[in-house]
Amino acid sequence: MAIMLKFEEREVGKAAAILIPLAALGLAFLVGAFMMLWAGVDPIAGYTAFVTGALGSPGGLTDTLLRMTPFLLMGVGIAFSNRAGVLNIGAEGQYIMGAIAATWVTLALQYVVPAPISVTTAVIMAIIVGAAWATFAGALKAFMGVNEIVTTVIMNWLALRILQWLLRGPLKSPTAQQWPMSPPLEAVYPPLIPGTRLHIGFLIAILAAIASYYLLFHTNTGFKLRVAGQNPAVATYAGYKVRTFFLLSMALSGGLAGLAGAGEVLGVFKFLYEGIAVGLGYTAIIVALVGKNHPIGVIFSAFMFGVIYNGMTYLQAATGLTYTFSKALEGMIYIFVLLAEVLILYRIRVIRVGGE
Amino acid sequence: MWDVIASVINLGIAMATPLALASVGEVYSERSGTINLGVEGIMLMGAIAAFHMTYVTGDLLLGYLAGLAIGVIFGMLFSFMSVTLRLNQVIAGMGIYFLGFGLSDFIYKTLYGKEYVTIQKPPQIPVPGLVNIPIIGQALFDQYPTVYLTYILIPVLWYLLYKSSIGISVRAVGENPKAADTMGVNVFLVKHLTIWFGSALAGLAGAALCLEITGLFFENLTFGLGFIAVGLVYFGKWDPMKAWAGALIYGMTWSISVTLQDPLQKMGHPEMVYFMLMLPYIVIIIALVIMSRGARPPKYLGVPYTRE
Repeated sequence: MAIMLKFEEREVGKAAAILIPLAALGLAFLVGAFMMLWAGVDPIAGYTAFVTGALGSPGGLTDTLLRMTPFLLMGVGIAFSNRAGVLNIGAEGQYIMGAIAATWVTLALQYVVPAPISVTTAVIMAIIVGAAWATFAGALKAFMGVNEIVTTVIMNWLALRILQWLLRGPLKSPTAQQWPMSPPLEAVYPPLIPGTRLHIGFLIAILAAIASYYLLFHTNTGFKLRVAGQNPAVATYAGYKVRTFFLLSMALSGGLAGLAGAGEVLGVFKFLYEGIAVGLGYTAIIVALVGKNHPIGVIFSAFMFGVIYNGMTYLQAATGLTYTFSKALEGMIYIFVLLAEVLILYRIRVIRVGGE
Repeated sequence: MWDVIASVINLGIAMATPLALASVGEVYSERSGTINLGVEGIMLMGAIAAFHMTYVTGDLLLGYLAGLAIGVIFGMLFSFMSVTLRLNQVIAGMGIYFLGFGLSDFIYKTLYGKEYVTIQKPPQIPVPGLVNIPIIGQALFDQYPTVYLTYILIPVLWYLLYKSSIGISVRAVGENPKAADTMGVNVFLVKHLTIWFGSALAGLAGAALCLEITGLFFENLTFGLGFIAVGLVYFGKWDPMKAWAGALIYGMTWSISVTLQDPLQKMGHPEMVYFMLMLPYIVIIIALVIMSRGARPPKYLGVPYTRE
């Protein structure tokens, strides 16, 4: 006598498809409340600070849009590679390399050429370096059969080590006191709304998402890319170069992550330090998942994670908890959303199997 | 000079040990068809569990056991998601990583605040007789407890995987679950158990890293070791002994880098310390490229099993 779970695929309404992930989110926050109680802080005060901070004022709201920008870029990039059948878990490293490239170029050019030229060059270099970082792993897979999941994730840590070294060596600011950082960047993104921190990187990200949507769903290339991802055998039979689409999706995905890195240093911090690498690239994996690997869907899920990230900074300030609490809560969200996926896609029945 | 070489090897083996434990655990999990990317997170949970247990009780053995136990618990969560619910293994594994990463440091800060608290490291135990062999003795037989455990455990796991009926079942489930099922192997049970076993070793690996190498817990203590452990499975082509060899390569590179830090610092290049810390990652990527060319993974790796 054994108990088995039987999965039956099902169609669900749009309402359920939105409500179930939200319920998962609620459940994760409930667990978060118990964690806060254990840590001896008031969850109600924490969550109040969270909501009013992220959504309660115009400044809070623009900060939320600011926080969603890297998620949007990397989420769209990961959605791209997912559609092509590659899971790019190397966004974190590609993002770090993009941030390094943008910083390096800006430091070299900012007093030499006019600011718009410096910024444009920095952004282009960040995209190229991010794309190269991803395509390197992609090429190892395509030409030598080295598993890309393994290489991309190890390259994330390598990128972090490179960042640590550069900040203490070639990119070190001579006046850095408390923690290692680069000299300040002067040629940076202009603000999108004057008087707020929101920069044009946000607009770039929205445009990138729309362009990606167009490329994926309204061009021949996008169609072939999706076929190659969904059914490589059919794609090969149809004469598509599966390997080319694989590399293309890695390059696009890495390029968008590099662009996200450039946005953080040129738009938000205006210098480079280790604090840019807080795992945004890993979070972007679930951003793509919640957004159903659809660029427009990713806009909404990136906004959701922007709210969470911005709200968490207020929660941390109000309660004295550190960012690892947010990371733990994010882990809960990640797992509950995954479980919710199963509930949406399948009707689960417990069946009893008689003795064999 | 020989003394330095012996101490570099000694440190390298000590550092390779947590990596080797996590990696051979992952070999078993992948041999039955499940890639567990949560190893990094499980190692961190094993580290905090071991640290806290040892700090509270003063007993190192209980610390190791706590690491093992938390590993099994996280293994159960992961196998529930990946085997029972048949979720995408890579995504589920990243979820476990996230949870372990955040939760381990949240627990530490809640219990200990923001101060670094150290515990008494276990002593390196010399093996009578063997320790007197020149160089080798000092390098291999004056070691921490888990190092000796790997000397025995990994060959045993190699033997079990290739020469025993348990190993045949595990490999059959990864190569052809349907056929294994027909032959009367309980596919789901084998998958669950190998994941729990692999996770238990990951938890123990975290415990070893925290208790033996660092002697304290801090945020992101593992710094990618768990992911490298997964990489070494590919390097070793799903063979416990070869994965161990990969761990030793990493350990030696790390040990050489760390040993060179002191002279570099004295030469007035403190930033080179961080440059040296990049090297193990580069070496492991190169090793992966050389070794895993044309490696053939278990046929059903990553494919959830369903009985229909």
